[in-house]
Amino acid sequence: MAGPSAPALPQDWTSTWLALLVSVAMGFLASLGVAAASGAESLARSWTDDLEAKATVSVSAGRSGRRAMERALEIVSTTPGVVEARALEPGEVDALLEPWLGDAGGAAALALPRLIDVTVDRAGGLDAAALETRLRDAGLAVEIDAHGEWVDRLRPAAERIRALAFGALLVIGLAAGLTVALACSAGLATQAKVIDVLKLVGAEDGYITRIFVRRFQILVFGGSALGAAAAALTLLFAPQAQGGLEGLELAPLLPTLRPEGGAWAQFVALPLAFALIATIAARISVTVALRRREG
Amino acid sequence: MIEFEGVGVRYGRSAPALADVTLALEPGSLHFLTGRSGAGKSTLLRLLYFALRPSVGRLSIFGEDAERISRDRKAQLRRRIGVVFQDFQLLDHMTVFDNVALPLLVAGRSEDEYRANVLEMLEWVKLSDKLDAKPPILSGGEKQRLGIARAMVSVPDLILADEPTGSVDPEMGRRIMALFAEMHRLGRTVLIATHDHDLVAETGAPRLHLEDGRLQRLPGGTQAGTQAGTQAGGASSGAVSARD
Repeated sequence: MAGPSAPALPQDWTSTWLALLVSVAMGFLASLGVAAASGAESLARSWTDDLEAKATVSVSAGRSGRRAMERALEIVSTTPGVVEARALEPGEVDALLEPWLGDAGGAAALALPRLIDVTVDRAGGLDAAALETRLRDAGLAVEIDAHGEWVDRLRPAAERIRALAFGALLVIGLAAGLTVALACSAGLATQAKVIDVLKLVGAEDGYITRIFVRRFQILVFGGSALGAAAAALTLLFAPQAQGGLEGLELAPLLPTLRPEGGAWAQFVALPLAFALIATIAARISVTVALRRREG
Repeated sequence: MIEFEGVGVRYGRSAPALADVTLALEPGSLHFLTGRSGAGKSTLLRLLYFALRPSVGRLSIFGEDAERISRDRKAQLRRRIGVVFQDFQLLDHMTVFDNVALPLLVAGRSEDEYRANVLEMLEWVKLSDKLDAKPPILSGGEKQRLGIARAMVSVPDLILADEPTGSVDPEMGRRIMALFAEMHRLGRTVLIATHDHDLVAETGAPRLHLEDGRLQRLPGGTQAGTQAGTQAGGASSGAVSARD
């Protein structure tokens, strides 16, 4: 025999399926959105970590190559903000040029500038323009490639991607809330008789609201958990952006969507967040509807 | 307990469904509410369970002004009122047992607390063998008995019944009336709307007669009609009055 825990609301398949399917889709999209946002964040961080602290000084040495290089190294090393300055060995230059010149080691035969790899103090930074002036004043023909300038141009792009992903997440959350509100209104309309009877036997608005809220909480949590699980599997097994680029220096410049470590917690947090959105949306929608019913 | 002071109800621009009703029902009284179809019986009952608000006048239930109470307070007061509806108002997706238990469930009681009450009530209306059945498979008479069981299971202070014996055989009708009488004996206020003059005559309880929305008080066992006007002032119990 059915006990007191029997549901006070009959099954309403239209609003049930609507809420469930939308929740699955929202959970899936939101998980991908969060993965994209955290991917953009980690990319921006890696750019900052790897590139910001580096600069390259190219010295056009000509015939007085060795002395010019030594003079340039001396000036660079004593410049404020420089942690370390190191002349690149010919072998390292060959390796850099290998994609264009092959492995014949022909770099030495070319009149190429000598390169100084500079490690910059993160806190103080490097005034590249001032360094270049000092080097030119010393009679040296140099070009400075401060990677921090690249980072300064790349970082806003990463931040825009992240903002876009979070914006999409916000829209998804809003859409989920509106869907639940819509499903609640539909449920209230189709279950008008049940609500009337509940009220006639003394149910307070809070009691009726709780019944609806509980139903949509469960539906939305279950649906979004399913969607999040599908997204997790997709991210786990789908090819990454760096696919085929492993080992190339370009690879770290591309985002990774596969969450790492604690980032997997989002797949638990998102369904909980959706359940919270459903609770708020259902509560507001049912409360307003009940008040309108009796005027 | 219940006081109407010049209460009138009008739906839109039609003639008033109730006009200038002044009435007091003492706690523990039993009355019949009679009148032709459309005379205003259901309207008067709806006022009493807060499904309707008076267009004019003042209505006080359990000492509280119906116009001034909050929504939640209304719900709390409804728990003190058991209503038997002419159209039953059952929940088709719930079992017989759960339908009867609904007022107690809504009031926050646990099954341990109300199980015996529900079973006893279902025994009384002879539905014990249909605990797990759902209303759509019940006959009209069974639905009516189920509605009566739900209205009385919490032994409410005020019992309102709209044609409670309309769909049952005479034997069950007498059994149901015995149930109302038992509630009355327990000090509950009972108001039964009916067309069944035999039932009124058998019971002998005082009668409130509605005609064209106007209320008259008649002693028990009399027929409505020409006698009504002459006996309207002859109140014997229950402080009932009507101004026409």
